[in-house]
Amino acid sequence: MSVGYVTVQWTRSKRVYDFVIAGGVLAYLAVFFAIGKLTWGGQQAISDEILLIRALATCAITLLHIVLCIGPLARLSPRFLPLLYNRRHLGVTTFLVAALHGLVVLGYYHGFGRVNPLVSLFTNDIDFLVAGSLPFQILGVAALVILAVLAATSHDFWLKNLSARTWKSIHMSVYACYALVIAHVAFGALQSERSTIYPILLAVGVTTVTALHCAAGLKERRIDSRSSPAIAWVDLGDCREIPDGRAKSVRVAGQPRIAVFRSGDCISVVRGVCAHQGGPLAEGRIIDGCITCPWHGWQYRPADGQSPPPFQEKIVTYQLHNHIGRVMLDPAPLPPGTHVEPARIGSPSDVN
Amino acid sequence: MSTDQNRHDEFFVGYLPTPQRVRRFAIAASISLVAGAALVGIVVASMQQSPGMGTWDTSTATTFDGLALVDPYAMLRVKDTTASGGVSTILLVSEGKFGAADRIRPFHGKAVRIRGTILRRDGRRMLEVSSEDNAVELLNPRESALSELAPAPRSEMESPVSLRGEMIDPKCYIGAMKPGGGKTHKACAQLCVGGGIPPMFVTRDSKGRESYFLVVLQDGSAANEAAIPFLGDPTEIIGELELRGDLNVLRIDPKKIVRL
Repeated sequence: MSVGYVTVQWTRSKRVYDFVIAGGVLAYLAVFFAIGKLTWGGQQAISDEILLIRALATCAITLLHIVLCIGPLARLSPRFLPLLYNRRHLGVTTFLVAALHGLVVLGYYHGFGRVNPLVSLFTNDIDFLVAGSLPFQILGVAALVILAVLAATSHDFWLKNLSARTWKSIHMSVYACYALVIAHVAFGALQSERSTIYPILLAVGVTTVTALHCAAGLKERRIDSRSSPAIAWVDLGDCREIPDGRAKSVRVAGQPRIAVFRSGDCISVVRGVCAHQGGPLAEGRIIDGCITCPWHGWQYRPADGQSPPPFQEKIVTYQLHNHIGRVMLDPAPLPPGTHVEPARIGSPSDVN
Repeated sequence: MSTDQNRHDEFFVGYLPTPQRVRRFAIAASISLVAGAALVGIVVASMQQSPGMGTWDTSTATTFDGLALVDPYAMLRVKDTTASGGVSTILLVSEGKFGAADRIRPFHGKAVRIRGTILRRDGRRMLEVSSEDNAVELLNPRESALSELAPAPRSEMESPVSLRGEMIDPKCYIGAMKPGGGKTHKACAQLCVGGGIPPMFVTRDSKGRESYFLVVLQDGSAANEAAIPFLGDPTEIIGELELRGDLNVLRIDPKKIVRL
């Protein structure tokens, strides 16, 4: 949430988050380098440049796995939300580490030759038509380009100016990037190293990412399966079951998820998708009288779906009325920011 | 409000103070992730295979006297009491990813003194000729010494032979890069062999012992362009072997190279 743009809106959480990322990356690189030196020394020592290439490569792929696992973990349990809060910094770090890997490879493997290193990169070992020798570096380049686009557009400036939908579509390409990285490793490093531990580790990583996404998808599907038909008025059920300051998610056929919030005896209904990054508002809370997104803390007033001044974000609201003690919803969405008088639990008469 | 409800209501917002239980879990999760990543790093780093016993002493310049040859590749025949026949062959390369044929061609068939840094692996030696102008000097040796170093006669061995192994760029493989072979090194090897470094074929027996073969075309000429597509890949070559002094030479027909 912002009315202007700064490079990073630092909070204590973000500082701690970034400290852990930076410390973790440096510790990983140091441990890898030290173990590599201890494993093979003397005449059998691995070149420092190659150790660095490998340390950066395995660090980047490990970071990418963590980035991809945090999303579904946070969907499965809100306790992982602190890891999601500043995930974009983890993504940018992944890009920086991968870019460093690419630069060292470019200088070491493609430098010192008869052609410019970039020319070498795009002319040596790029023939996809040779059976049994699929090129792998070009796959890594493609993955790095995607990571660069994701890192460059990670700021809220792009989110605002590209629209949340376009931004999300672009950032879903992280899965294409992941597939390219796996192919890059499978057709590259795994063809050179003989230990079976490497394909096993890669398989564990792919399985973990896939399993977590499937589990999160199944959870979402269960929520969606309880959708009501898109009739004139939808009974929201017994709203007294909703704890004060919290919400439940309702699905109406043909509509995005709807969040039914309770604040005291008042019921307000908004579209359950945050205007920021599409966070699940129904899993949020009411804090200081505002609906608060669980992902990044963006806030909206329950009655009109507008962010409190000076912020200007708006989300869709829905018309409500009471019918014999039940809260009824008109599934037709109102324009974002439209004021709707909250329904009251237990009130027998129409409110609106 | 009960303790259970308190736990249930704890809610993380990044710009607000973090609830105690949320903080505890986040710390535990962060430590687990960093520890897990470090464990991955330890496993991956410790399971790397040996890059071989190659060495490259770049800090000490070494000088050799011998007979310079450029057919099919730049090499130097030097006296060597440990070699059979008392003469051994040192392949010559330039700095970077370049062969030394252009540099040595004016001295072909002549006795020279060459300075550079030595690369060694499994008894095979290679000299990276220094880029200094006076790194290659013409000598005027006695006739008897020159005849000792004369090009070794060719003696054919079993023919044809089928060998399984890897086409390599020997500068990196012998010691410039460790490891200097395999798929991850392929593009670099293509650059090296394309730059004039002589291609070699390396085979491994069941005990991991390696044998090196200098690769030439069937007419005995340099095979750089023919070798480039196969560098770094496991291949099977049907070719003819010959012995030139201490050098195993493999004459190849590019059409008879198969990727495995």
